[in-house]
Amino acid sequence: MTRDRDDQRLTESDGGEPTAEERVQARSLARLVDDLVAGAAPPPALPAEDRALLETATMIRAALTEQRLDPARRDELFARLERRPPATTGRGAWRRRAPWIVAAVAAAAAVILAIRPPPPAPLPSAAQAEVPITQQSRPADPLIGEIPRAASGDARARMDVIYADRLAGYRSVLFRRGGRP
Amino acid sequence: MNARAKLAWAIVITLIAALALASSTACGRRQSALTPPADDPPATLGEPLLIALAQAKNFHHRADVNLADGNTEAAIQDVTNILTIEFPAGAPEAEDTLLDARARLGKLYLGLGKLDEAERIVDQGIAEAERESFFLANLNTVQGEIRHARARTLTDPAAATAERHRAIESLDRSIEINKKLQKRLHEEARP
Repeated sequence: MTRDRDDQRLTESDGGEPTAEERVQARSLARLVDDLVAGAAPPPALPAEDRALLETATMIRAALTEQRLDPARRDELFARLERRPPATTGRGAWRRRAPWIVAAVAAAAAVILAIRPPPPAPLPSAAQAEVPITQQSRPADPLIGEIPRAASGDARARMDVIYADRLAGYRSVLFRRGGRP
Repeated sequence: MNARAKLAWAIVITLIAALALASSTACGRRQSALTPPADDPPATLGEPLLIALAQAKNFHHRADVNLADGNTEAAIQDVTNILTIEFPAGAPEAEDTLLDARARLGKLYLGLGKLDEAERIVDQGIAEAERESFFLANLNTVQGEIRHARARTLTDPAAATAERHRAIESLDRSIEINKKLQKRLHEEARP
């Protein structure tokens, strides 16, 4: 059988006319390819060489022919898509609405943050609030007052006043604390 | 992505940027509310401040003794030592004490005719002052006296006039500070 085929191929390659047997085989292969393309199952038993020929022929046919949808089928699909209402539920709807929802939430948060009053300043601690002004470290301006030009260099006298005042304040602090520094 | 979706995302990005800006602003306000100003609240009087004040007082007394002894240079050294005393950080009395020590130093140098030293020590004190006080006003007065004294030493009439104008500027600043502080103290004293 194989030898016969080799002989036939030699005949074709030699440029000779196909024999009647070759024509029958070609028609048989063409039918098989047509059936396969049409959706039919390939024959269960087929010589390996014929199966390889069949597959190759099928691939060549698929590559060379234009595969199109049946026009009626195509029109039906388009009509169905056009009739279909826009998705109002499900993932599609959420995907379309997501930017607007995020925008609304962001806008609301921005407005809230912008108009929200600042938190109130913390009140001074109880210990600080209780400390009288005379027991606090503070500028000496109220104690000394405006310095006359004639006394501009009399820093020693002013230092005495400041020291005496702060010493009195410090003694009050010690008294308040029961003698503890 | 169609035009509506692009517009929506552009709005989202803009709003998120606005949100971040508003959030940072709110955080800033919160921070400023929590962070007290540098001069507030005042600290309770303590031993370190009293020790520093006592040192300054003693250096002034020592300078008095040296002056009575006719030793102005030693008196200058005594008052200069006050500038090296370590005061508690942020104590308002520290700036008052140091400005007053500089005023006395300026006067001592002026008495010796050392106008450059006098001006240097006074100018430095004015530049370093962090708040307006009667002590700063006094230092401006001393600066005016030094400039007036320098004007008297200048032979060029134009330079002397310019120096006198500088002296007037210093005295004007002193008057301005005093007026402002008097007004503030008066308002604070009102019930």
